[in-house]
Amino acid sequence: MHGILRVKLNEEQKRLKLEKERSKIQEYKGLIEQFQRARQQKDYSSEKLNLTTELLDWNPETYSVWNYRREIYLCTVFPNVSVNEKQDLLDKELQYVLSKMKVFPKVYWIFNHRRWCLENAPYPNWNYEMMITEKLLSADARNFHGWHYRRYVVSQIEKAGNYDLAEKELQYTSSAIATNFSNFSAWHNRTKLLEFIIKKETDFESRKQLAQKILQEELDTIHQAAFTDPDDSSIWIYHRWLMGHCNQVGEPPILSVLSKEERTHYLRQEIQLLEELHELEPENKWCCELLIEYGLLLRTLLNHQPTKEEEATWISLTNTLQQVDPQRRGRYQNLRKKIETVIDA
Amino acid sequence: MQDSNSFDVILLGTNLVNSILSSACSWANLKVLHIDENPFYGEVDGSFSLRDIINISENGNLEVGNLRIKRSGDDALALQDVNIEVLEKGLLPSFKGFTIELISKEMYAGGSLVELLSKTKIYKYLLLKPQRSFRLYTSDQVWTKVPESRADIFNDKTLPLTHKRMIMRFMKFVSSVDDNQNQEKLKEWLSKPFQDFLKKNFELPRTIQEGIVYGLCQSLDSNISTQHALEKIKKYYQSFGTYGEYSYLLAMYGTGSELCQGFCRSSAVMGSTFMLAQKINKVEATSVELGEGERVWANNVITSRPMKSASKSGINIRQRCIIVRGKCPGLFHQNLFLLSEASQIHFVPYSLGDRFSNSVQVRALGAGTGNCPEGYTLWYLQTLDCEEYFEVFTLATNKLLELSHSEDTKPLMYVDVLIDQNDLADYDVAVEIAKQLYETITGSTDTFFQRDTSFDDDDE
Repeated sequence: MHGILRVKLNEEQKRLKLEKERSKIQEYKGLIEQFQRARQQKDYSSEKLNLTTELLDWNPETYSVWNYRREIYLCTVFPNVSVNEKQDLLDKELQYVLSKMKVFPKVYWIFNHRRWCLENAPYPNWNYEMMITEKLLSADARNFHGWHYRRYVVSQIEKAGNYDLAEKELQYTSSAIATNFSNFSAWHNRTKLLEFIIKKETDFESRKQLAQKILQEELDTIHQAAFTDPDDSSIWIYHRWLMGHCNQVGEPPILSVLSKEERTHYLRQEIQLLEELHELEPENKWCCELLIEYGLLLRTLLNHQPTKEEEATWISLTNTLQQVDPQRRGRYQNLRKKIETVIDA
Repeated sequence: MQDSNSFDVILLGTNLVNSILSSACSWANLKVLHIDENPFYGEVDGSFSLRDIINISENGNLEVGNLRIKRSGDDALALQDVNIEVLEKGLLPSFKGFTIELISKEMYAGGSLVELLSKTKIYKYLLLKPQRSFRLYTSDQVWTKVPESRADIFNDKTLPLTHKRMIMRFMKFVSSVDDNQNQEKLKEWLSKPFQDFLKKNFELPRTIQEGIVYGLCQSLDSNISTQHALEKIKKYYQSFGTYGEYSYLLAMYGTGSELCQGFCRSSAVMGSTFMLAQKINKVEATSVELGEGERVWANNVITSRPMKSASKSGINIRQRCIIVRGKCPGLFHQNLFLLSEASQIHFVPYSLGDRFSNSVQVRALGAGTGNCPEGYTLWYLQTLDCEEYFEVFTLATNKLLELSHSEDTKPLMYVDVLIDQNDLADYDVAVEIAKQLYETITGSTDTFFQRDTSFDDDDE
C-alpha cells in the first residue's frame, strides 16, 4: 500500500516540476524575445540595462546579451556622464562581473566583459585584478582562463609601469609545477615567458649562453617529472617544445640560437635518456613516439641516412605503439610510412 | 529490581572502544550506564598531567607519586613498569601545562575514526591538529625523508631518476591493490613478511624499502606482515591530502583522552549516565555490584578490555616521554611562516648501532598541540621491549638533539612506561571493535550512529 502511494506522489511531483519548469521556460523565452526586439529596433535606452541584468542573472553565457549591454553603455550612458561618474559605473559593473565569475569561472564572455570594463575605465586597478587571478588560480591551478587572464593583467601592469614581470611570473609557474606538475597551463605559460626572457637578451653571445642554461635546467626538470610519472601528457608536450619539435610557425625560440652541433648534442642527450626510460617502461607511448621523432630529426640535422638498425628499431616501436594505443593506430601507421619514406629517399 | 537501577547496557571503563560504544548505544536510544573506577576518562587511552604525579614535598624535595591506572572491572593493571626520572630538577618549570599521554598515537586523516568524528559532528568537541612524517634515519646513518606524495618525489633532487620511477610504481601498486590482478599476486604473500614481498616484487633500493617499512608503516620491527603493511600504506596515501599536506591528525590536550571525552560527552548528551571514580566490587554477566553495595542491572555488561583480544599479546613496547626545554625547530616542517606542531621521526633498525635490530619511532609534539607550554617540546620514543632499550633510547635522544638545531635544547625529565603491543593498535581498530560489540548488543550494525545529526551548534 505504502509503495503505491509513494509512486503516486512521485508522479505528482514530477508533474509539478514540469509545470514549474514550463512556466520558467516561458518567462525566460519572454525576456529573450524582449531583448531581441529591443536590439533589432536599436533601442539602447538605459532602462534596457535592467533587462540585460535579468537575462544575465538567468544565464551569463549568452554573449549577445553581453554585447547588447555594452552597446547600451557606449551609446546612451557614457556620453552623458563625467569621467568620475564613468569610473563609478564601471566599478559597479566590475563588481557585477566578479559576482558572476565566482559562480562561472570558465566562461569566455565574462572575462571579455571584464576586459572591456577595464579598458574603458579611466582608472583601472591592475593590482586588484592581479589579486583576482591569484584567487582564481588558487581555487583551480589548472583553469586556463585564469592563466590567460593573468597574462593579460601582467602585460597591462608591465605597460603601465614600463617594467617587466617575466622573472617573477616564471617563479609563479615554478611553484605551481612543484605542487602538481600535471598542469598544462603552467607549462604553457612557461613557454611564453621563457621565449620573452631569451629574446630580451640583445647580445648574441649572451643570448646563446642564456638559452643553453635555460634549456638544460628545463630539461633537468622534465627528466624529474618524466621518471616520476611518464604517463603525464603535459610534460611531454613541453619537452617537444623545448626540442623545437612542435607545430610552431618559424624557428623554435630556444634552439634557434644554437648551432647545429649544439642542437645535435641536446638531441643525443635526450634520446639517450628516453632509451633509459623506455627500458623501464617499455609500454609508454610517449617514449616510443619521441624516440622515433627525435631519431628522425637527428638524422635530418646530420644529413645522414639512418642505419639499418635504427630503421628496424623504429619500425618495431611503431608496432608497439599500435598495440599499446590502438585508438591511434592510423597515426602510427602514418609514422611508419614516414620512416619508410626517409629510408627510401 | 528498581527501574532506576536497570539499564540496557552497563559499560565499565571509559577507554576509547567503550566510549564509542557508549555513544553509539545512547544514540540508538538505549539506556546506558557508564562507570569508570579512575577519576578521569580514558583509562589506558588517556593522559595525565605532570602535576598528578609530581609533588613538591614540604622541604622542597621533588616527590614522584605512584601512577595507578586501572582497567575497570579487570584485575590486570594496564600499565606495568612506570618509571619517572628527573634529569634537571632546577630547570623544570611549574608542572602546569604538561599533558603526558599513556600511549602516544595519532589518527589517520582518511581513516574510519576521523570519518566517524565527521559524520557524528563529535569533531566539534575537539581541536584537531595535523601531524606529518618528518625524517627517517637510515641504516647508513643518513637523514632522509619518507616519500609522501608524487609532488614530494618529483621535487626531491637527491633521489636518482630510476629510484623515482621505482617508488612511483610501488605507489601505483598500492593505490590499485584491490584490483583482481593484484589480489591474485598477493594471495600467497599476505601473512609473509612484507620485506620479503618488497624484495621479490619491486626492485627498490634498501633506503627506499626502509622508508616504506619504518616510515610509512611506522613498523617497530622487521617482521610486519604483507597484509598489515599494505593496509597501513594504503591508508597513509588515502589520508594524505584529505585535509591538507599530511596524513595524520591529533587532538589538542592528549589525543586519546580527548577522543574518549568527546564520545562520552556525546553519549551523555543523548542521555547516558556517567559515574567516575566509582569503585566496583563485583562484576557478573547481567549485573554489577558497586563499592557501597548497591547493585545495577543490565542485559549487557561490557568490561574494559585490551584491544584485539581478551588476552595480552605477550609482546611489550617501551615508550619514553621526554620533556624537553626548547622549541626544537629542527624537528618540524616549516611552511612559509608556520612551524608545524607535530612530527614523526623514524630510526630504522641498525641505524643507531650494529647491536640494535629494532626500530625506534619518535613523535615530537610542540606547544601548538596543547601538550606543553611555550618553549618546551615533548618527545615520545617507542621501541620493542628488549634488554638494550635504555641504551637505544639514549642514542636516539642524542641524535634528536643533534637534529633539533638549537643549543639550548635540553631534556629535563622522562617518563617510561611498558605497553602491551595490542594497545598500540590504530585508533581505527577501536571503531571496528566498538561496531562488533554494538552488533552483539543490538543485533546489527545498521543503526550504528545512524541518526539525524541536528545538533545545536551551541550545545554546552
